[in-house]
Amino acid sequence: MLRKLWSRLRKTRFLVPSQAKEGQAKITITGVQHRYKNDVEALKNVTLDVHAGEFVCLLGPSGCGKSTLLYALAGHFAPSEGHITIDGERVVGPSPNRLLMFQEPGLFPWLTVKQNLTFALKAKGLSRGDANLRAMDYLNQVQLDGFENAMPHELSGGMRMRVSLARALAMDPAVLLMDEPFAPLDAQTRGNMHQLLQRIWVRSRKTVVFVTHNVREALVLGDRVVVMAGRPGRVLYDLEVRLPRPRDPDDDRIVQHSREIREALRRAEAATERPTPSPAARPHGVLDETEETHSRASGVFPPAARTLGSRL
Amino acid sequence: MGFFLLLLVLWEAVSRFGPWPRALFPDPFGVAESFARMVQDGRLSAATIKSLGRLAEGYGISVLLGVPLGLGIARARWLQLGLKPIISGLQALPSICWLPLAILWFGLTDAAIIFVVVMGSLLSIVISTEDGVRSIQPQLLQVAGTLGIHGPRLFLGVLIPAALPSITTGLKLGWSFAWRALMAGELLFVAGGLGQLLTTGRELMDVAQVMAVMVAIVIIGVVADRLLFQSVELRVRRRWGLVGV
Repeated sequence: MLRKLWSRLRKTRFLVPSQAKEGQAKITITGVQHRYKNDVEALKNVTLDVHAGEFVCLLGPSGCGKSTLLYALAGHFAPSEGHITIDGERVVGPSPNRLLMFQEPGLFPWLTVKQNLTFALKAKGLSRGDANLRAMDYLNQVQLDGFENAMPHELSGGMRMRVSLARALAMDPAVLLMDEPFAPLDAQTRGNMHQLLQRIWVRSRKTVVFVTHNVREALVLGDRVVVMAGRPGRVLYDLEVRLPRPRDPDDDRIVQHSREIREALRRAEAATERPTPSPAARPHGVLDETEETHSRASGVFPPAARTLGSRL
Repeated sequence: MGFFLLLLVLWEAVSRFGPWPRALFPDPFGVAESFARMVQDGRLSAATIKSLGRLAEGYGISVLLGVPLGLGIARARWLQLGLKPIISGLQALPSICWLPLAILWFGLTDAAIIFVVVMGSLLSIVISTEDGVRSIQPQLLQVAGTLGIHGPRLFLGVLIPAALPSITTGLKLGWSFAWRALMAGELLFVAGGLGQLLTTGRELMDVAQVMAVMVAIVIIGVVADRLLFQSVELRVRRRWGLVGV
C-alpha cells in the first residue's frame, strides 16, 4: 500500500534522479580530473554516461567547470586524468563527429548564409549538389528560407544563431555539443530558439550536450539536467526531467523547480566559498549551519545525491 | 575645383614674376603643351607601357611570393622565428638601395629593375598578410576546426578570405612601394620607361617635359590607387560586413 502510494507519488514528480540506463552509453566520462596550470582544480572526479538520443544539460554557475568538461568532450584539450569515449572510441583532438557550437554564431562573414553550410558540407565530402540540397533542407528547418543568399552581417543575432544551428545539424555529427549558444540573445529571441530547438530535436533525436548557467533553459531543453558546482568542478545532482515537449518556460513546475535548483546551487556555493577553518577553531554556529545546509540540500534532491554517491 | 584653379593661377604668377627664369620654371600652359606633344608623338605612351609592364612583372612576383610567405610565417613557428626578424629588418632599407647589388647580379637588364621593384613591394605584402592571418578571430579558427576543415581548404577557404581585408591593404601599400621603387630605378638606370623620359628631360634642360612626366606619374599613381585598389578594398570590406552598406 505504502509502496504503491510512493510509486504514484514518484510518477507525478517530473524531476527525479537520473537512473543508470541499459546498454552501451554513447558518451562515457570516467573519473575525469583536470587541473589548470595555475593549480585551479577545474574538474574533480567527474563520471557521467550519456546515452544515444539524450539531451543532457550541464548546468552550473560560471567557473564550475562545465565548459571545461564540454571542451574536453569536443577534444579541444586532454584532461589531466580520466578518459572520455564516444561510441567506444577515445576522444583525441577535435572532429566534426562531435561538433561544438559556441556562444558566437561563428559564421564565415565572407560567405552567404547558404555557402556557410555548403562550405562545411563539402569539406565533409559531399558533392556540390548534395551539399546544396541538404543546406536548403536545414535552412528550411530553422525557418530561414528566403535568406539563403543574405550575408551574415545582414541578419539579426537570432537569425545568425539559427544559421549556425542549421550548419551544425546539417553536418550530422554523432554528438552535438553546445556551449551556451543562446546566452548572448535577448530573452524573446532565446525563447523562440528554445521552441525551435525542441521541435527539431524531437524530430532528429540527436545526442546533445548543452552547457548553460540558466536553470530554466536547462529545464526547458534537457531530458537530463546535470547540476555542477565549482571549486573544484564537480557534479552535484544528475536529474531526469519528465515533462512532455514542447515545454513552456513559464510552466509552474519549471518555475518552481528552477527556484529550488538555484537555491541548492547557492547553498553549495556558499559552502565552498567559506574558508574552512581548522576544526578546533571552528565555532559551533558555523558547523551547525553547514550541517543544516547539507541536510537541507539533500532534502530537496535526496535520491540524486545518493545516486551520485553510488556512482562515484 | 576653385582651389585648384587658384593654385594654377599662383603657379602662373610664380613662373612669371618669380626669381627663376621661365626656362627653369615654365607656366602651366608650357607643361600642358609638352604633355600634349609627348602624347602625340607616342613617347609618353611607349614609356608608360614599358614602365607598367615592368611594374606588372615585379608586382606580380611580389604578390605570388608575398601572400604565401605571409601565410607561412603566420602559421609556422620555425618560419616565423627564422624570417620575421629578417623581414622587419629589411623593411628599414629603402628598396632603391638594392639597385647596385641588382646591377652586379643581373647586369644592366630589366631583371635588375624588376628585382628592385620586388624588394620594394614584397615586404609590405608579406607583413600585411601575416598580420591579417594573425588577427583572425580565434573563434573562427575553432569553428573551422570543429567543422573538420583543414589542409588546403583551410588555407584557401578560411585563412585567405578571413585575412583578405588586411591583405588588400597590403597589396595597395605594396603597389605604391613598387611604383616608387620602379621610378627610382628607372631614373638611375637608363633603359626606357617614364623614369628615363624624366632623365632625358633633365639632360635637355627641358623643364616642361620633366614637369609633364611628373604629372603623368602622379596621374597613373592616383588612378591605380583610387580606381583599382580603393574600390576593391571597399568592396571587400562591404562584403565582409566591416562597413555599413
